[in-house]
Amino acid sequence: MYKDLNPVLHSQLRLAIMSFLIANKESEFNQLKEITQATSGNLSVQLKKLEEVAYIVIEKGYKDNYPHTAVKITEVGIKAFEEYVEALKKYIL
Amino acid sequence: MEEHFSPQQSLALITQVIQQAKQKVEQDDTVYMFWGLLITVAALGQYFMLQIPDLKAVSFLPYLLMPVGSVFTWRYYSKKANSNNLLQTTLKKVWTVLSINIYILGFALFGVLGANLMPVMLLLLGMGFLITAWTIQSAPLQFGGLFINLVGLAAFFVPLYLQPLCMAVAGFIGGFVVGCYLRYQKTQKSYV
Repeated sequence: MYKDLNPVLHSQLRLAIMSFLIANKESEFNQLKEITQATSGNLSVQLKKLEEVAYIVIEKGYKDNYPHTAVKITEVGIKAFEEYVEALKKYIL
Repeated sequence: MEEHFSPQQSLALITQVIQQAKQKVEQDDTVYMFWGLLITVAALGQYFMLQIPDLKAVSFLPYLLMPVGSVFTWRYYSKKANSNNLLQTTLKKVWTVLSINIYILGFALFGVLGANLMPVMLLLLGMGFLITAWTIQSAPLQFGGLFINLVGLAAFFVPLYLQPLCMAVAGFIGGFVVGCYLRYQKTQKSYV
């Protein structure tokens, strides 16, 4: 229907994740969960999809002895998001 | 949240999430409450010490609470969720520069500024609040900044021994009360 819009980004949860990362550069898994109000399972699936297209990188490790998952936006992700917003303008303006 | 949606809804979602990212900065109510109380306590401490002739010379001592506050703030932010929000990074730098200048004025250049020391410190503090308020578009912080700024200007006309009271009022209303209001606002907001 909206063929100019990147299908990876034109999904509410993935777009919410990318929008937050555009503003923050990086985030923690729990912070994204809080912002999107998504379940852990759904969020993990969508993060995996974004990682597969190299829009984000997921770094797992430990912080203060607790498991810690950091999610960072990549240059490819930033470019894709910018292109998505440009494409969006065609439908709105 | 999986279904596809219209471009208008898409734009609204982007705007909403980015706005939430901004509000994350505003939601640091604990820091405003903490600093508001700390400034109030230190200023009232100095005011009462100025009333006692033997303690006049060391009436600056309550302000040693400020470096303690800085350590608390540093620990507070280092424990918080890791997010490199560009706004947060910029504001952190602004507050670091302002704090260093306030410390230098208060602990090293107090002799140069004399009776103008406290008003100038209040103006710097108010400026920090206003820059933060305008960056994240926060009305409560803007009120706090304007209030501290006005008290700072008024303090130029207040006798030296009463100036700590100006500092206490500015800290309590501009910092603590504003922080309490931000906390109240946070409980009223809901996420996506």
